[in-house]
Amino acid sequence: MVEEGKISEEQFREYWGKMKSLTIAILLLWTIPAFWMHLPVATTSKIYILGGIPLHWFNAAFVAVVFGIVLIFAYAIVMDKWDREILGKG
Amino acid sequence: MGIFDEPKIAIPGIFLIYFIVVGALAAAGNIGAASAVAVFGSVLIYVTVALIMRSATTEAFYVAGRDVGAIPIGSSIASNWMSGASFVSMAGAIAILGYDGLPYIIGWTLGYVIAAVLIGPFVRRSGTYTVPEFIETRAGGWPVARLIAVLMLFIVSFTYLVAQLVATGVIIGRFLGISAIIGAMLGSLFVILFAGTGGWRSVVWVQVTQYWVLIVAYWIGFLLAAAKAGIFKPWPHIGYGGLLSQLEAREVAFGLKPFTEPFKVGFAGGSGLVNWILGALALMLGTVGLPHVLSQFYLVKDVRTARYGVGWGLTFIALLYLTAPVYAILARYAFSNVWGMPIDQAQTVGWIEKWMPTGLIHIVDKNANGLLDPAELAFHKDIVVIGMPDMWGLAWWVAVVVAVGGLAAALSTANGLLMVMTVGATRDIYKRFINPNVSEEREVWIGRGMLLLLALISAGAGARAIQDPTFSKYVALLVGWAFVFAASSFTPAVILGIFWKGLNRTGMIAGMFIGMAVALPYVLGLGLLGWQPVVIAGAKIGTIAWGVVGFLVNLVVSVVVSLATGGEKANTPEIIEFVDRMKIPE
Repeated sequence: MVEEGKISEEQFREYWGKMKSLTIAILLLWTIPAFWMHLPVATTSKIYILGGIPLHWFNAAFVAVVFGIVLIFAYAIVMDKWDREILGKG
Repeated sequence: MGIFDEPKIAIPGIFLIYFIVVGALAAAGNIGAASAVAVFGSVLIYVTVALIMRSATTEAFYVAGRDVGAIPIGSSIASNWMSGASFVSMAGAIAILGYDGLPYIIGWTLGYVIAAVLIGPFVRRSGTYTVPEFIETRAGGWPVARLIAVLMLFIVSFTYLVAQLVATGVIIGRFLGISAIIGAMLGSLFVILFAGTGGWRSVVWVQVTQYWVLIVAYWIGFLLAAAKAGIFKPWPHIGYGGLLSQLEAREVAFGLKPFTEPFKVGFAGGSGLVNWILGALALMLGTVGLPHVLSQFYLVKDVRTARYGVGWGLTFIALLYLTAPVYAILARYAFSNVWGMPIDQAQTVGWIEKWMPTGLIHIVDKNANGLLDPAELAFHKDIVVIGMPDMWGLAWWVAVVVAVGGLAAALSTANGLLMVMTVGATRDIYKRFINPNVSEEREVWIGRGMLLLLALISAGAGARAIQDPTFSKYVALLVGWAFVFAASSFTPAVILGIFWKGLNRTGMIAGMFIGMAVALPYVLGLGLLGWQPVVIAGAKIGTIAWGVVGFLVNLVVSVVVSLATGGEKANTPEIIEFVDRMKIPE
């Protein structure tokens, strides 16, 4: 199943195992900006920050989207590193 | 090889000429000519980019030669994604909905995290050319699966495209004072010019150009209005607090619930926190299943580029989406300036006088007290971005810049949608079922023919939507629901197809059908027939939020039916190899 001469079956299994854990970790972290951090809206809505911005308004969205961008780049950097290692590109 | 064969030199070169010509006309005092040249010149730039990047191989036509880098694909993903509606209407939706509009911001961005880890790199590695081809290959070369996928691709993309042409028509029409129908026709003509020259290879580079035009235009309007409003403390995105407090105080003084109050309006026919969260989730799940989004992952150089490209894509999208709420506050504050004014006086305020004839602003003295109460000033959501330069008294050219940006946003999404349908019609129908032995050259010409045909049909539908308010209402609803349908059909099929070898074709098709069967009646019933929404935990579940239900039903049905029909054993060794190959590093 693995392409000839590139990586062994065993290497691929190890790689795939690591990749699965990373994917699950990223998806669990994704639930925070997508879901959890918006739940306490009723309790945070009366907190004002930075000269009068209510904490629930758009800051939650702002932080959520930036969180998402960080997650994508973190995933890309880690996967890129593993790809290089397994393919022997240093 | 002339210097114009190198896009890195050619594209900035063309822009330089453009700025010089427009600037010279403006300096000479000919504002009308400068505006017209600015708007049409921008289209000419896109056509030139398309011509420079043209190519006649099928690989260039279908997948841009698979050599697009991470930052270009990021800008292409962003402009493909952000339509005329994102540019013109999103800030307005938030100005109207306040907190309840935030699912649009969260839902239309965080789906890209799912795309980055569950879809993009694997789709790129699959070796297929299109989403229907992916589905067919995963179903073991079963043509029925491909046909169903093409059909759904057409339904989703076509309605979406019609809405884009309506937006283009309105922008061109409003700006040039011509009929919106002629504007829509012009819009579709432009798209034929960009896409017909070189297929995806031209389109992707035109989209890259359009992204930078649209984002610069959006930010110019925003930064200038922010400077006038004095919210550079030190930067508008964090300095708007004072303005917002003043706005809220005015709202309370006029007996309104503050703009920032959660769950006062509701979202897509539902209400409450559960609907809010599920609505955002459904938009995320739908995003990754939309064919014109999925197809972008086919264009990149390699898997590595696919991963980074999604990151850049979301970064570039965020530059607009995270600015829209501040736009909304700026506009709402400007509206609040006229509350309480005598009606006669309010009607002579510059921007109100200018925009009343367009119907984007309505003033009616409902309680006949001669004063303008907040409820008596109705505004269309498009006024927030288009009218911003007038509301804050900005220079004449800012409105031109906004028009150029809005046009770029509408055209860039139309390009992508039309290309997805063209490739579907050519590769997934013509080459697969009608003439598999077609020569490469002929195939590209068939593609151009299909493009022309599809553009004409959608221009006709766009014109009809502009003329007929009922038709246009259906189009607008369908665009919102495209996410529900994508989440209930493609998203689970593609994700399970990549990650679970046990998914077989019976399970995949059963899941897609039953997912749609659960989604369709609910959204139609609620949206058109006046059904009552289901209530979960005290919250009414609106049409968009229901997409999560469609998604989960599809997922469960796919798994159960696959297991019941032999699971992995029902798949051939070729399918298993296809699934494994997507994960091998290259």
